[in-house]
Amino acid sequence: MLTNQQFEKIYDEFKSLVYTLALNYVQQADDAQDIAQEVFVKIYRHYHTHNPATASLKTWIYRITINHCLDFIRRKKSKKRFGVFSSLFNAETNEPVAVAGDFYHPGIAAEDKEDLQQLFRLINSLPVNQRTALILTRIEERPQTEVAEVMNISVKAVESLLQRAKQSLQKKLDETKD
Amino acid sequence: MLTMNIENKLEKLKNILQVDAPPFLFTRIKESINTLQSQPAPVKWRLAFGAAAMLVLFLNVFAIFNSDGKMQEGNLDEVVRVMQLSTSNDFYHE
Repeated sequence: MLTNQQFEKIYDEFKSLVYTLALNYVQQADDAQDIAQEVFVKIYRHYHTHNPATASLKTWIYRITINHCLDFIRRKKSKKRFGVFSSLFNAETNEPVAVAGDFYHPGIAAEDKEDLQQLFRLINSLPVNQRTALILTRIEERPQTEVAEVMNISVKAVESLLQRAKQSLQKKLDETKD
Repeated sequence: MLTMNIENKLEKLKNILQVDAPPFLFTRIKESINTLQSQPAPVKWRLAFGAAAMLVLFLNVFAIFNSDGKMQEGNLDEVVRVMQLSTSNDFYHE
């Protein structure tokens, strides 16, 4: 079990990494906070299971964060699916029910928001592995060797995922322009 | 030209900055940990234990209601016959 001091030290070292990675997956500050909270609680409770011989602490925390992000996205999609049974219109005013803003990434400047919102819409539609490889290399700017370690695949596999991700994105981009 | 298009767009991802976590996040995390530590056992475990206890109780009640004295006596006679036990106090058969 971690002492409070040890946990605080880990938190201080990795809080930005976890929070920013969560933001890059969900692009919504409130959701990213929820995910970051879950991640650090898990780190506190399961620190004893981390084996430094198999993966560094940073890699382990990356993996936990990515898994929680993907779980969160799956749960959110599932809620939206069931939401089809609720009315889209306010019962009293008959006006469309307002949907809360889905895109709020504090790391994105206002002038880039529109372009990046569109890009993230495309990235979010990629298969999970391609999306992870793209986020880790192009946004987190991690070297491919580190990405391979986090994803527990070879460097060649990372390259292949990135290639396919770019092809998929290009295709989707062309479709939106048509 | 088309290939450059997506690459140009992906270059914009470099403009995304790393962000500091909100200052209250650590407080939320500590509260969450304290809440978990104050719980005696996870809810799922408690429900599973309760269900198992109910099942054992039900099986015992079922067994008791489905048994009667005659069956027990019958079982005893069967044991005596099979084991060739003596039902008298004589050491030697006269």
